Amino acid sequence: MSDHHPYPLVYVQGVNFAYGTTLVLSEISLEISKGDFLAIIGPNGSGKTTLIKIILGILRPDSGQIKLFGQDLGSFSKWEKLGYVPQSASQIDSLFPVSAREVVAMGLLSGKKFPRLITRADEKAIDEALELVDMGKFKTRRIGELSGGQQQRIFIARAIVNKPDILFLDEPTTGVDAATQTRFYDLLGSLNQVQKITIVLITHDIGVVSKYVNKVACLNQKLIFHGNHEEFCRSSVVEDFLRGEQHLLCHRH
Amino acid sequence: MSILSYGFMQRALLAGILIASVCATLGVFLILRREAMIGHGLAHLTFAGVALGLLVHLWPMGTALLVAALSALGIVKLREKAGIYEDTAIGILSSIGMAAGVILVSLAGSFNVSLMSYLFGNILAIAPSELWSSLALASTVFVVIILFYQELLFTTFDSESAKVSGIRVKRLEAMLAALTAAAVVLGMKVVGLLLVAALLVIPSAAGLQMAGNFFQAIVLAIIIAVVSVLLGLFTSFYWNLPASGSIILFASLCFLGSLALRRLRAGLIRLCSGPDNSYKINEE
Repeated sequence: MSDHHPYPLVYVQGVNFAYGTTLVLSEISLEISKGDFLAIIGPNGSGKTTLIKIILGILRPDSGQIKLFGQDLGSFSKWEKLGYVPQSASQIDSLFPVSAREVVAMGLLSGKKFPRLITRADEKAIDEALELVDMGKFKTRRIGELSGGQQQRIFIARAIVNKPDILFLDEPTTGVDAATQTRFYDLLGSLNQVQKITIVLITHDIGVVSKYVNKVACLNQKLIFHGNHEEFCRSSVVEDFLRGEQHLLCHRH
Repeated sequence: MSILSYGFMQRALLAGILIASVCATLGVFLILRREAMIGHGLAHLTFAGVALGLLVHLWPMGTALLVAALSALGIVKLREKAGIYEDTAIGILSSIGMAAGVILVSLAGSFNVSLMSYLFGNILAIAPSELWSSLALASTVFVVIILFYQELLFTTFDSESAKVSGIRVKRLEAMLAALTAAAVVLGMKVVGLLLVAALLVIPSAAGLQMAGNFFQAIVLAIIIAVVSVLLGLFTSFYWNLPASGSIILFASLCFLGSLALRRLRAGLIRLCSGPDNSYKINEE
């Protein structure tokens, strides 16, 4: 699936990170190429969210190198190429008085220079992003009035409104019912296949995402496995690590 | 109207409306960032600034502004570097500010009417020069908020994602703290240091009860703040009551009204959405 590209979109080399004296990530190295749909899996506390936050510059690693689009993270400035749906998106303050339109508009700021004002032309991009996630009719609704699944769609719209090359999602379906999860992953599959957006997904729903992903990274402080879906299914290391759950991700529905 | 024929009343109305609007706007950001108490803390620290001005015979509003701005940045840094909760940082620094203020005022021998006007406010005694300096400071705060409105909103709603969008979140937080310091110093002239936190919080809290989006919340907060100032000043003029207390009590009445309106609205929505009492929108 990966198109030819002169450099990986994400390059991680020898990353180590500790919270105080607790080692969270040890010697992590991986690459994410254009077109990938990568699922990052692992038990709670395995460092999945920490790794994403380091890649995105939210946390600073103790050692190691990160490159985005061939550029060192420290000097990276093309933030509009990235979309991000954080874990906290599923725990938003329901009383926060912000409309779906205002949330999606936030996604446009990465592509703007000072003063970052929303123009009339931006309204078209906001409408398009909302339509893409089938939330156009909820544009003026307060985000706290929407259901969990609808809120996630709004956050996806915010993440894709700038037409990013790569989209990071951190356990986006936490607290969302099974039927909504399936519709949500269908949307991600479509963004990957139709819109050609590279997707990096932290998830516990390994059974549900199996039919969409083409790469898997299995993390537990160290990188247990990183490779394509077929290699993952044949890996004895993964079999030992997941203890019977491997087949969930290998069985494509 | 005869009330507007007085110069002091014209100045009080002009300064009150502008300063209350600035406080209400900033208050919406502060409440949603769970930083409502920063106004209270900065007011205590500003007291030390006023006392310093009285001691060294400099313009107290200037020294207050300097101390408040430095303190605001100090609170941000203490939270970041010392790894303590913001309310703890505010608690520590505000206590230091109040203690230093008491000592400085004592050294200056300034437990007098002048000090009382800073503690309790004296909007009716605003001099033309103070009006102009207040207008300049308030205008600066407003222009900065307008220019950084989208970034402030994004950072307030989801600071992590804002950072991934290339927004310099820490710099923005420091700027918001500095603007709040300016608002506290401005508010000191309207309602005094003891009530300035209320001017930052109550109209904004009322606006937040009724708003459907963030922009509406700011507009409603400003309207409520301005109405409170107008009613407070009229009450003060006609019934000879303190303007500061009147303004805050009218704002509090507006807040209670907004709570009632919100409950009424929620009840109506529940009534319209059927027997399950849920007003979340269905998935389909």
